[in-house]
Amino acid sequence: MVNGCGGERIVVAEIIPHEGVPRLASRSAVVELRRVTKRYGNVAALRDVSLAIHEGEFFSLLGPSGCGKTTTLNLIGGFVEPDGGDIVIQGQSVVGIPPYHRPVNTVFQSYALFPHMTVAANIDFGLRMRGVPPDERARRIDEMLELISLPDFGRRRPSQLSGGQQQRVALARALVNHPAVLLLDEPLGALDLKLRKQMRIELARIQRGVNITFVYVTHDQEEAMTMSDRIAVMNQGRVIQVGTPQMIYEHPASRFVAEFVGANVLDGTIETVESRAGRVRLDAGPSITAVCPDGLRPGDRVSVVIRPEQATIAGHPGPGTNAIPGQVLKASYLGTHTQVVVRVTDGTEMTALMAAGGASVGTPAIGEEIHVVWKSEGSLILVEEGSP
Amino acid sequence: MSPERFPRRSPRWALRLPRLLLALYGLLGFVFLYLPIAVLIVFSFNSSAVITFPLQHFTLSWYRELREDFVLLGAVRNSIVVTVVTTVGATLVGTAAAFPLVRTGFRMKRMVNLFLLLPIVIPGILTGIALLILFVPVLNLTLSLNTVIAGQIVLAGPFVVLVVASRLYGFNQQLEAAAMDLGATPWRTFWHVTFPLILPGVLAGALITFTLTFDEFIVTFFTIGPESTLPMYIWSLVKFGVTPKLNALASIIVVLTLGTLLTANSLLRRRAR
Repeated sequence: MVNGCGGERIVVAEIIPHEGVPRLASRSAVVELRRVTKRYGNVAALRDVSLAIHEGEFFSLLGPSGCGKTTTLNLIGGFVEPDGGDIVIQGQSVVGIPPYHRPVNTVFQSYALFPHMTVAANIDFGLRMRGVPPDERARRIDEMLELISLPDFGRRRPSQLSGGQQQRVALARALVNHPAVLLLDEPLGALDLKLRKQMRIELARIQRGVNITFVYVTHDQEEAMTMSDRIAVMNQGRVIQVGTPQMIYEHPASRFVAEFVGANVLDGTIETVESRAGRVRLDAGPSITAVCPDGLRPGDRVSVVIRPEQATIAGHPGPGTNAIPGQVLKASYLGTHTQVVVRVTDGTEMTALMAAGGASVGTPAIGEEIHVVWKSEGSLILVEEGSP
Repeated sequence: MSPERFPRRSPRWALRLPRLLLALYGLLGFVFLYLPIAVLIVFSFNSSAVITFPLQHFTLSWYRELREDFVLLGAVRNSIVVTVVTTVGATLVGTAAAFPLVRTGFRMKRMVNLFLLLPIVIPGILTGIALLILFVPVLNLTLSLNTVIAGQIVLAGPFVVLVVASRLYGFNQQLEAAAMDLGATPWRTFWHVTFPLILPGVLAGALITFTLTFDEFIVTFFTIGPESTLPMYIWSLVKFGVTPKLNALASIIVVLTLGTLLTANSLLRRRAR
């Protein structure tokens, strides 16, 4: 995939000197939230949130709408002031400092390009406000237009650009100021799927080129996974888990995270624990074995996480595998994979993603009675939220 | 053969008739609107002192007479002063008032909104009397062009509020957030982003104020001192019977009004491009 960029040059290396800083090697936090709370009326938008975002990393805030991710962004940008806690940018507290005095720039969800200015004047705006000398401004505008692959668009008006082009101009307008942190508020939300996928690649590439810290807000887990160095998963005003995409996906810290990244979750009760393997009696009927964290005892309520690509379907499960009977609801052939949605005995829907050409049974028929099977190493036991 | 599926084709003229009638109707409407003005202008060039057909000779003498009428020239000067000051004042006050009305929430906002716009619908004669009572017995002011200007701002301000507020309702406030994000202080944000974008509304408000004030009669009548504005002067002329001199004056006003409108229109168009 990802064609369509054909012929477009992405010139990044020349834009900003790297100063020999190896990516991710520097662990110094450029943005820190320390026990930040924010209320709107009686509603708590953020509850005691602490985060450290490192120099030069692509950091995503991932969560459903209303989870507090945009509030977090607005707090860093200075559009909202916290009710409690501290926000530190480059080692200095910025609480009470207005947006126009913070070393932070934002790419807004609606782009917010100034309609009465040309593309070049839009990019110029931040430089003009900060009193950069005219000849340097002209040079930096040209560099930015080159960076976003729109070199001849300087004299156009935003209304003459497509959505994707406007999006790039918004990016250039923010990046031209060389901010310590770039905030992006679901910038790809308004684009169609194909363009969105292209822009993911391009955004990640630009970020690596300019080596500026990106804080990216999204509710799309795939988007966060493909672009980020690290992700903070948020829910109901709290940060649930922070980690690399792989960590989040393979070791979700809670049922919420597991479900949000698309894993199957089944409830059950611990029967026995042997070293790292736990036997769980599922509420749906059968007993299965899964990887068990320390400190669980028989009788504890737990959730079992099974990732879709670890599950497959079989007519008759062999002995020694984890299996649960169910009925096929939907089967979609996706080329490289076949996605099967199964309703298991307790009514839960499970998804199995089976590689094409593997030892699969072919595309099953809807309504067919089958078993969802998976290996015990592939599944993870989580303590249920709310229980000790 | 099966019977024909469609009814018989209508003749060409029958298809064209509705369009023709519509065009004629439109033409009649235009004649109704502009015939009086056309007649007015025609008679301003007619040599007879009596306004009646048939036309006599072509003359510019009525225009020449205007030029020598010092009372008239004074009235024109007064009108220009009143109109310009009122336009600036009402535009400033109205624009400033539109912001809190749109941007902030406060108790009884709807009520305030309603009362702010009430002067538009209150009969001018009531406003005039009310202002007169306020100015003279209550505030003990001497009636002059100043009191006229104050009255005119009361009349025109609501129109400016209305036009600017409608522009502000459609304003994407994220643009202001973006400007501040890019380092603009609130003051610079206003001048670089907010004001240029609401300018068409402000100009429209100013234009409405200008045209309203220039020929306003009723409220001026109640609030003016010994001076005279153009509408007052015309009224005093009519009292002694209409002469073609009046036609000449009216013709000039028509041409100036049209010119102003066309200029404003082309200016706005150039900005939009």
